[in-house]
Amino acid sequence: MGKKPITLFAGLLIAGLVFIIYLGRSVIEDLDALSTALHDDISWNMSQLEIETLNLGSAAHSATHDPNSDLSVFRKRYDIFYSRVTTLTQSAFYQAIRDDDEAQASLAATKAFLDVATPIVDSPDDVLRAALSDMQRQIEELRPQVRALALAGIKVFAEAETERRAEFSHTLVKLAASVLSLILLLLAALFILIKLHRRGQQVAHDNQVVRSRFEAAVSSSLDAVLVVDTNGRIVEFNGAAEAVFGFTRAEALGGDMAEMIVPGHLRDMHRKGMARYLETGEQKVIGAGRIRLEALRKSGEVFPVELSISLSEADGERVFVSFLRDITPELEAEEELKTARDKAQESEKAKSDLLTVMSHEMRTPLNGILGSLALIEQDTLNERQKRHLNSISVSGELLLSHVNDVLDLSSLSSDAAPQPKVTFDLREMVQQMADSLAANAQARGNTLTIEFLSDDLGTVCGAKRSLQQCLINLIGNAIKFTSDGVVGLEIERLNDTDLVEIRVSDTGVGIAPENLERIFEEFVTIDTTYARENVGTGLGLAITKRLVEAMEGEIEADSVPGEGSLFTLRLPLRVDRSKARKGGQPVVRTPAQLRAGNRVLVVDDNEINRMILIEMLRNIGFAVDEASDGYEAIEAVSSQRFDVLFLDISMPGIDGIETLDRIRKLDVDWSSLPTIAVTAHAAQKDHEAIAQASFADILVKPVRPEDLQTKLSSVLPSQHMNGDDQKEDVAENQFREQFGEAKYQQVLGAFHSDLADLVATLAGAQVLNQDTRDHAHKLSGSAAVLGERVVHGILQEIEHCDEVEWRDRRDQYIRDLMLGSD
Amino acid sequence: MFATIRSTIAFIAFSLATPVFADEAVLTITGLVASPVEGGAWVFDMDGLKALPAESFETETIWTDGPQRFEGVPLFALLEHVGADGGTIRAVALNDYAVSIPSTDAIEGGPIVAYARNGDAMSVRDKGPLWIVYPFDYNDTYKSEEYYSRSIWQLDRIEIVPEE
Repeated sequence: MGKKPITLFAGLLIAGLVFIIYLGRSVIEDLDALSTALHDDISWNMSQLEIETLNLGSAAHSATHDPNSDLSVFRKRYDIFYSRVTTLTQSAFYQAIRDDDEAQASLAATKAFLDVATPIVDSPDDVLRAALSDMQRQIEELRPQVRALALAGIKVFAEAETERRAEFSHTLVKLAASVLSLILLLLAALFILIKLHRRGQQVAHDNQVVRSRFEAAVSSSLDAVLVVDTNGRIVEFNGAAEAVFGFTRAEALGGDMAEMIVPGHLRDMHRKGMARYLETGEQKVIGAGRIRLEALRKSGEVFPVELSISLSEADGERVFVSFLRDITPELEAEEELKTARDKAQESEKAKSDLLTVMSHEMRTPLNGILGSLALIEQDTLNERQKRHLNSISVSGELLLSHVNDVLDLSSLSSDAAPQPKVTFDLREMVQQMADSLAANAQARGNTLTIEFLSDDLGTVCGAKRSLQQCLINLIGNAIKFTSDGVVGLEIERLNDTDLVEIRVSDTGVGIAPENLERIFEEFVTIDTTYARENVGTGLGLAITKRLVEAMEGEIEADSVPGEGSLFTLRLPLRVDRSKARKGGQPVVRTPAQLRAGNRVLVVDDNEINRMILIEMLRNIGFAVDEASDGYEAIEAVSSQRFDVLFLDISMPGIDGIETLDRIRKLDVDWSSLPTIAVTAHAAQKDHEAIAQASFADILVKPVRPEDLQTKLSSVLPSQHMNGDDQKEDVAENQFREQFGEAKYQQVLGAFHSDLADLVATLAGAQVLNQDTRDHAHKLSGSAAVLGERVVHGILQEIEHCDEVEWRDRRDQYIRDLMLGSD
Repeated sequence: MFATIRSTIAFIAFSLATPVFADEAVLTITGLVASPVEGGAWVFDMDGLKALPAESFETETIWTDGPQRFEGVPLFALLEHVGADGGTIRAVALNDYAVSIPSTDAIEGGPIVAYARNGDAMSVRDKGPLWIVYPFDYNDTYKSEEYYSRSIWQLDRIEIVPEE
């Protein structure tokens, strides 16, 4: 029920009242008209006229019969009769009679009589007396006329009365109808009022219910509930609040909330906030949800609370409703949990650190063992000794691989920078890896198959080393857990996207479903039956998973025990469209010929390691000096010229980096000599530190002779040396076989002089023009035919590099070319 | 209609030709009144009445056409003159029409005993010579049948009787 019906109803009521007042007035007017009696007593007057006629006749008769009679009596009667007629003819009131046809005739006859009689009546007595008998006869004749007049008058007035009555009764009917409708209207109003009243009662009842529910909710709430008015006075304080704050409800009600429960240091802020809200309506705490603050108990104890404040409006008066909870126990529990977590994390880290350090420390003695094994002249040993030596070697390599696994994992766990993306040939990389693992597979009677299912698997961009490591782990596992079966490798690009899917399948023992989830966790080795046969740290898949995640890819495993397993890798490997680029990865170089007779200084605090490295270098043909720490090294370099320096990084006293720093500052011509860092630190961050120092290269322990040669060839200008380790290049061999040594040397000479020209051009070229590119292209072709793969690679890079690359790498290219063609 | 009015006017003009003589007795007052000098009854002729305080007013009546100026003795003054105090006035006309008027009607601003209409004496034919006229136009209370019936014309005599 809105306002509309009430307005409508009021309107109707007023209209009804106005109408009734109007009718009432008209009734009053009618009544008034009745009482005003605009008419005389008609019947009386009309009959009086008749009576006066009779009286006149009688007077005439008396006068006629007595000749001596007083005529004044007759005259008086005549005058009265006359006045009666005059009234009838003069008064406006008798107009209706005068208008009546019948009455008119009678009235005319009466007046005619008066016209004749009056002059006679007014004449002297003798004249009147003479005319009396005649007049008497005339009066007799007039009587029926007067009677007719009286009757007509009565009839006319009766009609008028009837009309008036009808009108009046019509007014009364209207009045009655109005009153009736007004009563109906009032009844309707009453009905509506009753309904409204009932509704009001219902609403009041509902309100009461809601209110009592609310009160029940407040009083039974487990949280302390405080209701505060805008003056900061407490108006409600429930049972829980009593328990929390220590005040009784009676004490709290009406009290200043700020004084009672807000701690001193927050009171000022609270008051300001309240004032600000009242002034600007700006709400900070109100309606902000749960917030944590401190509150004050009656005892003066300050304790932490969680509270929410909402604004409520009742009867136009604003109140703040606060729900508070003492969160002391929660905070304590939270703190305990935090401490426990921190402790757990700490101990976890300590374990991990210990493992890393242990592994790291194991590499140094391993270096000794494996290095020494490499140096043993096997020819001089008998078969039994060789077998033992082989066992030592295999065990040592296995131990090394375990140690490396642990170090890999810890380096992946730390927030090491992800491996850089490079451009490489996926197809080639996979093929090479498969080739290197083919022997392993064969050893267990397995066939290794590779299928490339898409075309776009050539030059791609991605973290090559990580991918390599993943594949080695997966294929290695497949081979390890399969015997006399098939290990399959499928590579497919998914719908021309950047995603490449690599599937490694085997027909091995498989993995039980309940273990499938676990295999990517650390230190998990599944099958104890095979544990003896398949040794491992259980870190391979964990490392693989981390590597895949670092590459933003995903890995999943599927297996049917007894039938085989399938590992699926999905990695973003974008196709690199600048096809000719061989990639940022240093081109694999043929070990350059190392110049014999170079002077080398080996610095290492570990005597065995030092000895092994020295032996290896001497085998190549270098003259080697040694130093056992940084100080000795500095002294040696300051007094003697060396061509290469091998510097151990972790040494007592000053470490390798510091030592190199000092050597660089020495005032000798060779202070900038190429220096190779030797370290057992396999971790990425160590490598970064080393890369920042001015080392030419880095050699990771345990040192292998072939690694040593590669590094040396990269830092030393190459030169034919004894060449016992030089692998002949296939192309070169082919050319020689086809054209003979003489022709080969001639063409080679021409090529080198051509290359020298190009180098001269390049040295002066800030920008690469098309001619120079063409030149480089032509020479790269020649280099390929001649088996000069290093030069071929560099020339190809130059041919396709863009301006920025050219500017950045020009000097490097020129140096590489000079080196490669030396 | 016109003819009617014309004949009426001619008729009135004619009737006015009959005067009432000044020394003729026109009103007799008897009953509960003070004893008059002659003893018996108060008898007034026209001059006697005109010697009493006079009053005039203009009013319409239901028996006349248009406003009329009446002149006469206020009823209260007449009663005072004859020493009537209270009682009911019983007025009788020439034709013996009689009506009772409560003495409370005889007040200042109340009815007069008119002896002239529009400046002329009234003949019997013209409802004269005396006519008790209420000032109808000055007091709406008088415009009712009750007062119309008390407006007695051709007044002949008055008797003061004890109050009914």
